[in-house]
Amino acid sequence: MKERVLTRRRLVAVLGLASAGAVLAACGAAATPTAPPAKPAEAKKPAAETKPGTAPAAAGANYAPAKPAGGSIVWLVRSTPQENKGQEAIFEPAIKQALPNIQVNRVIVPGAQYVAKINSMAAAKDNLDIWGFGGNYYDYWARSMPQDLTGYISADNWDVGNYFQQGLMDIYKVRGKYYGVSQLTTFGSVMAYNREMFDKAGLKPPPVKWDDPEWTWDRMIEYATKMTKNAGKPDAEYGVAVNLWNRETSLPYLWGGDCTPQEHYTNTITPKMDFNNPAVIDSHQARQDLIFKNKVSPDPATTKAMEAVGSVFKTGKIGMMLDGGWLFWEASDIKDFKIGYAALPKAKTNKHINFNDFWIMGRWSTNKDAAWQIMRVLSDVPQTTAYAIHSGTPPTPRASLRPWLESVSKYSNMSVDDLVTLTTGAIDPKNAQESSDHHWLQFAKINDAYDQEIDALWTNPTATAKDVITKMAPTRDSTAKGIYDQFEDSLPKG
Amino acid sequence: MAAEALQHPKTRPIELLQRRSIRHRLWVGSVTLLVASGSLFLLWPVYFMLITSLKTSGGAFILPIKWLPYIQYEPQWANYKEALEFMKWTVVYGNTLKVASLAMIGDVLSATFVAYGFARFRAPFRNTLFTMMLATLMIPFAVRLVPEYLSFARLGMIDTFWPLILPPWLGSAFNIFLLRQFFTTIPLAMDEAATIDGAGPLRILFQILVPQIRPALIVVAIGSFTFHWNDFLRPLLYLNLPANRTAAVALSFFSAVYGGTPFNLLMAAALVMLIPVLVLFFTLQRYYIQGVVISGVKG
Repeated sequence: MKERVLTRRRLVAVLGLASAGAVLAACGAAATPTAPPAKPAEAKKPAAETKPGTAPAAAGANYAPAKPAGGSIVWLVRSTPQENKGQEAIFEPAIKQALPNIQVNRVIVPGAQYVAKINSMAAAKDNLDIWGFGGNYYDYWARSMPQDLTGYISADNWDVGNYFQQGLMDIYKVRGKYYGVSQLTTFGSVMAYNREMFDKAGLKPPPVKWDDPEWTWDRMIEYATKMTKNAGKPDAEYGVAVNLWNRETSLPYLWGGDCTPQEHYTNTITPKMDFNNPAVIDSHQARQDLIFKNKVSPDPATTKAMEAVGSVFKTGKIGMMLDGGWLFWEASDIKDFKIGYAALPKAKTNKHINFNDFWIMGRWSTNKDAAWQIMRVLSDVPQTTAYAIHSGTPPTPRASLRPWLESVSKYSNMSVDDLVTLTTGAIDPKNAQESSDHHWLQFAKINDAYDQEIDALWTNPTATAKDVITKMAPTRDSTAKGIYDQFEDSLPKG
Repeated sequence: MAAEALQHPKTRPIELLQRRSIRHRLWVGSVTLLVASGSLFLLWPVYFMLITSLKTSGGAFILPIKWLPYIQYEPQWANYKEALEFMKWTVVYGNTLKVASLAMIGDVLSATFVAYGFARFRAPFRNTLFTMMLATLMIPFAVRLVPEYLSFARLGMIDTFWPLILPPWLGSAFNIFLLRQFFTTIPLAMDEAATIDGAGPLRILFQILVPQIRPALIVVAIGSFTFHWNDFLRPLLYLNLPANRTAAVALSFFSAVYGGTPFNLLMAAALVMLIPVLVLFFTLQRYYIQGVVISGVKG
């Protein structure tokens, strides 16, 4: 077989053809990279407006800067349809109206990649003027990512303490400086319950008062026992699911303790945890007992199976669900059964985790005045109220609370007053502690190791909390110490 | 028995033919039943997607699962409208179609030329170059991700479609390998005959060789289109502006934190996203299967 020899002439011909192909490709694609921005018509007709009556229009912005800024701003948000629709339908038109000279580029990033995207944009000093929605903001602070907003707040004479719900603005105040503007609160952790299962078992709804002496962990078990049917079988109904996130801290809180010294919340690092203590052991044992001893909670395998189609509580097979306050909006679309919300029961206390998010301005922002003005519009009561009703997510300004609770009242069949009692009681600093995933540096490292090791307790009926936790404690200490040593000298001084 | 019947066709009794016909029908019936069961099994997740897409947001989670729309629940066809509007389907589908089509053309053209070169031209270090090219298949994308991102960033191509379109025009190792194997199965005598008739390398490529490797080109085209249509990570990295969003990224926006994902809308959008790929596949199905069969034997 004779092979063709590559001569110079042929090589030149092929290279010429390849170049022509590349040029053609470039011509063909030239129009695509410079795709025009969304047409005004599309912006005027957001998807959310297809449901008349569900998108209350913002009643015009109150905030009016003395000197409106211009330029463009990159605003990063996470993907969550309820939130994204609200941003498009409420915030963007309000910004356009209040600050017509600022071009806002809202970048949506899938939730799973959200924090990674913030970190990569920060590392590359890419345009990122405003972001919110979680992440570990003390970690951001430790890496000097957020802009100090104290000067802006003072210049505007903005009384943030009274404007936002009690204590919220203090959460991201580090060494006397504000590094964020309160954006979202879950109103702590909460219990959602299935009214129909309560009715069937002849039980009265649990209370909304956080200091109700009757509402105890034992009473919850008693209720759960009455509601549980056919445990372990495919058609089982369970009385309770304690899904409280970040169980390393949330469970000991209920038993009046913590898994770490208090300094971890103020210093963001600690050389030693306090994992092997009675509050941690007793609370973990109590949760395991719900599964294997009381048999009123689904085991991890059953929970996984129920979660295969989404949320455990939404299956209609769980009487009471203890979880973060996202249950307020996560359960808002349940139509197949009636729901209600209640305070967490007291074991020794009912202290619980509060989850708060902040609008943060990137320190490397090149248009800080415009970014600040956008943050003000995002925090303005007409917008926060309309957005909260539209998205179902709780607002942070005090003035927006009641209108939002009126919307919660409709799907939870609870009175607004009861909901006010529940939510304001939930964020009372004596009942709630801001989540450690927002406070502790390298939280993921601490939490991932916990999740892996604690599974031995949740999956094994013969394991005891004392044994498992005693075995885990040295690793918890060494992980904390490693993080402490890494950051001890590098935390910002100012 | 069949061989015997062939040797003595006139002596075959009628009963034997009838029996064979019944046996044959039974065989065809069994195979059909088996294939149908297999298809049902494979289509079951798609059916689950369909019925979930027709439920209300909260109703998608209720246990026991309701399998029969119209009988067990009222189907919510409006979910499709809501899902498509939320993902801004005209924008994202337009973008994805542009990217996937241009990348597909690039993949097919570049692979054809390079494979032709490796298969038919003698050049210094040809085998070494070919081996090096194959070795690039071993490098995972995660390793190339950062340098690739930085390169495109320096070229000012972030938030443009160039990072998605340009690489396929520079060749894909797998496609080149696939087509080269096809080229090598075509006898060189055909090239030589064409050369004697006065054809140059390009005429030989396009008029002699390409028509013979059409199934392979279609395999490459469908594979490339599907890959770029479904590509998530690259568009996520390189594109920020809503006007540049692609379908896979838009689909991911249905996922919500705290278990708030509207599965009914997600399923509706995912089903619609399947359509272009299915249309392409069924249009070119004949060639595609031919290509897979040939490559399975000789590739």
